Amino acid sequence: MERKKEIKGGRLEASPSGSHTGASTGTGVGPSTREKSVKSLKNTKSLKVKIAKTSNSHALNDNMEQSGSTAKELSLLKNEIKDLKERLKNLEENLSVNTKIYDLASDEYELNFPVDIILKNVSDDEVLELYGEGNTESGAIDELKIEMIDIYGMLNDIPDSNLSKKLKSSKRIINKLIKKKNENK
Amino acid sequence: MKINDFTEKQIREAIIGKIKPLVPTGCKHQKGVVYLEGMAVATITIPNSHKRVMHHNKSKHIAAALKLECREFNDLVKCTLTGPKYYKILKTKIANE
Repeated sequence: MERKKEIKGGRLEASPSGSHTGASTGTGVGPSTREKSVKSLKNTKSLKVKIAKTSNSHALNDNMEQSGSTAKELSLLKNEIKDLKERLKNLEENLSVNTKIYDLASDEYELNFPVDIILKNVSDDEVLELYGEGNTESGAIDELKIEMIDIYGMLNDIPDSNLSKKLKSSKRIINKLIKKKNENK
Repeated sequence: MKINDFTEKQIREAIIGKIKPLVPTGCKHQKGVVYLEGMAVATITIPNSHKRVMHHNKSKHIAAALKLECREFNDLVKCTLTGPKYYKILKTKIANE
């Protein structure tokens, strides 16, 4: 009875899971040398696997950390680019070019005096009565000249009595700027 | 609110079809005069019938010439703002000028 206990105790000691049931031990005191070495080998194996697993997961964690920091850096850079783009847009919007036009490139009309013009991007709340656009500054100016002549002709074809207050004012301004070439002849 | 992307043709059709401005001859660019109760109240440039998208600044200029807010201009081109409704808006705006 005492020996059984000993064997049981020995087995319990060797196998913490307590699943071994066979009596393969010769002495009955504990696991044999072979059993021990087999278990030790098994433990080494599992240790190796564990180490391998651990080192893999470390590499994975490192990769994740690295990719996480790269993503953070990318997001920071994106924000910086966005900020720079906005600042550039604001600068471009506020940029204006002062120039003069000396003629209207027309056989029929001429300017009474050189007209200062400002080329600039317009915001929502700014309204230009005359508008010229083009791919180049000279293109935009040429369009503006045509617009001036068109407006001149159009407003002068309508009697003042049929013009609204605002259009009357536009007519007055355009007539100050432009005259027909043959008017002085 | 911004003016939507419209082709020159869309804007032209909305102006000619709904607002029906008087188109004077002799202009290099096609122009229109908008009359309200016999009084010329606005001069506008009528775009060509090109299918290219109208430059936003130019759309804004046309909208301003028509005395329309960006939203109203979008409605005009998108068909929800009719000619009579436009003239109603115009009347209010001219009275407030």
